[in-house]
Amino acid sequence: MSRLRDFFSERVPVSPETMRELTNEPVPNHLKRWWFALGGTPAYLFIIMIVTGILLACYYQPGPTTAYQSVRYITEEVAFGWYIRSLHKWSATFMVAGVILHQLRVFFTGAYRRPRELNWMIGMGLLVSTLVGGFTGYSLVYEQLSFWGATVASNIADSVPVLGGFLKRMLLAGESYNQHTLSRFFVIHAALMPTLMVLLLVLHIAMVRMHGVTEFRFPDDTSEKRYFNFVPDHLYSEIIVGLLLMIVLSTLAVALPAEMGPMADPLTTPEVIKPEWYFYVSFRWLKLFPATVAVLSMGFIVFLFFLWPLIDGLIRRRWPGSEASMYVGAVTVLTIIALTVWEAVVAH
Amino acid sequence: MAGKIGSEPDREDRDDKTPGSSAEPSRRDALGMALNTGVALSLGASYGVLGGYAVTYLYPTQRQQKAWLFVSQVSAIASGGQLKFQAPSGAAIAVARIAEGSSAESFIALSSTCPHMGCQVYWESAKQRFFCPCHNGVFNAHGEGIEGPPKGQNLAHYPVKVENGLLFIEVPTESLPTERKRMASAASCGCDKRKLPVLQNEPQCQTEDDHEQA
Repeated sequence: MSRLRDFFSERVPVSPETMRELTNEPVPNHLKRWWFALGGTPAYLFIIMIVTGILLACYYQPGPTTAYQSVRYITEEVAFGWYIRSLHKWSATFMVAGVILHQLRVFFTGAYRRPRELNWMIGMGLLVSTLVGGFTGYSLVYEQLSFWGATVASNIADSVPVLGGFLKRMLLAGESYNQHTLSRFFVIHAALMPTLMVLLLVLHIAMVRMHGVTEFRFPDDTSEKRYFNFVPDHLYSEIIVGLLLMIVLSTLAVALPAEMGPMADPLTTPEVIKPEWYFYVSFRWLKLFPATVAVLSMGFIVFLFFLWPLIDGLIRRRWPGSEASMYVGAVTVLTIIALTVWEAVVAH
Repeated sequence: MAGKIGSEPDREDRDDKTPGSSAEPSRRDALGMALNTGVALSLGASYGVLGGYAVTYLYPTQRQQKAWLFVSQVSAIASGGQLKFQAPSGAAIAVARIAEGSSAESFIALSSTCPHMGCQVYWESAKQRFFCPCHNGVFNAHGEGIEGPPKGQNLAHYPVKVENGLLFIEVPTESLPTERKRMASAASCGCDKRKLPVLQNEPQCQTEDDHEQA
């Protein structure tokens, strides 16, 4: 046993003290509260999606002649295919919700403020990547929603001044949806986005380690020690979150499994068509304004939120103690909720 | 310290030849700087070329396949009349005669693709309008956007030409698999299921056989 330990300690020359220092980050007491586990939750879901995604890719065949049939084969014929696909789908839904909630929590607690501005931007990058991953994911099934979603997305790209035509052609691999479009979406979904997200996640976690977790003191926290150990205390919390998530995901996979919608018909847009819930707000926005105005304004709003820590910094330098971010955040969240509900309750 | 193999040498043991490390810049520093710049530029150029090739590789160069197809004899469509035409791609096209003359300018061929976000419009005969279900776009019978986000935009027109009293239209010929399936079912039922404006002087709808004969 000691020879084995010597073997590894010679080849991995890190002392036990250094290893403890690297892994055992001091965790502020507020992280004992469960809703602060929202950052770890998407990371956990991301791992589930990578695993189930690799399994789905074993049978999935991109291409308009094969995609729908291969997804139907996975769902209806492969042993536990329905379960793997449903887990993938529900993990995606939860991941989108988790990343949005995590970002909201960071926003409303001001945890993005100096010196953590860059980490907020990385978080925004992760949010956008998650949304792109979700969109390209449901585009791969080649259902009606997949086809018309991809068509609308390519026209959104086309509405960008100057670069629009180039972006649309790059996205669709042609002037319109064609034989090569799904391969391109598959590459974006299964290679490009996961790689980008892994890189951003590494950066995100490295930044959290460098700056430490933002500490919040709650009135009922009377303990003398402000921190507790990551290993094993917080690790156990994360394991329990992981266990609960698997129970919830499995229950949903059984109760509400991923189903097959009608196959894409490039000649007939369904009379009532809706994207996934997280795009309701942009779908409604497109109904309210002309295409270019809608696309540019959406892009501008997302860009403002990317830069929000810097904008907030300027505001707080001019008006120290200002809580403008609270009002901006509240108005934005209420608007997003209102537009989402509006889109959800009406047919058109 | 004499460094042994595999161990981290002390900083004092390192031969620090980094340009600019001494206080006074020397000719050696300048040469080193020039060399570093050259290496950086070469690296940028070589990987830049790769990036350029990658964009060219990804950017689709093949244009959409199009062909001129026979639609009808000019005399078969009365002035103000209209007929349904189904392209090989499956696209439903409304061809209308808008003037008495026999030239191409007397005809329009209206696409069913909404110019807003590319969805397919429906003809609502009760309201005499085209409706796009994606973002609530509304077009009149001439394809002019009158409500919703595409207001002010028109449904696209396909190019038409007249030769020897025969009307031709230029349409995409590529099709996705489901379109073929749909065309087969449309041909078997004898007519396209899509609803287009009520036609005057409506001839039989076009099928693949018609196109082949043309």
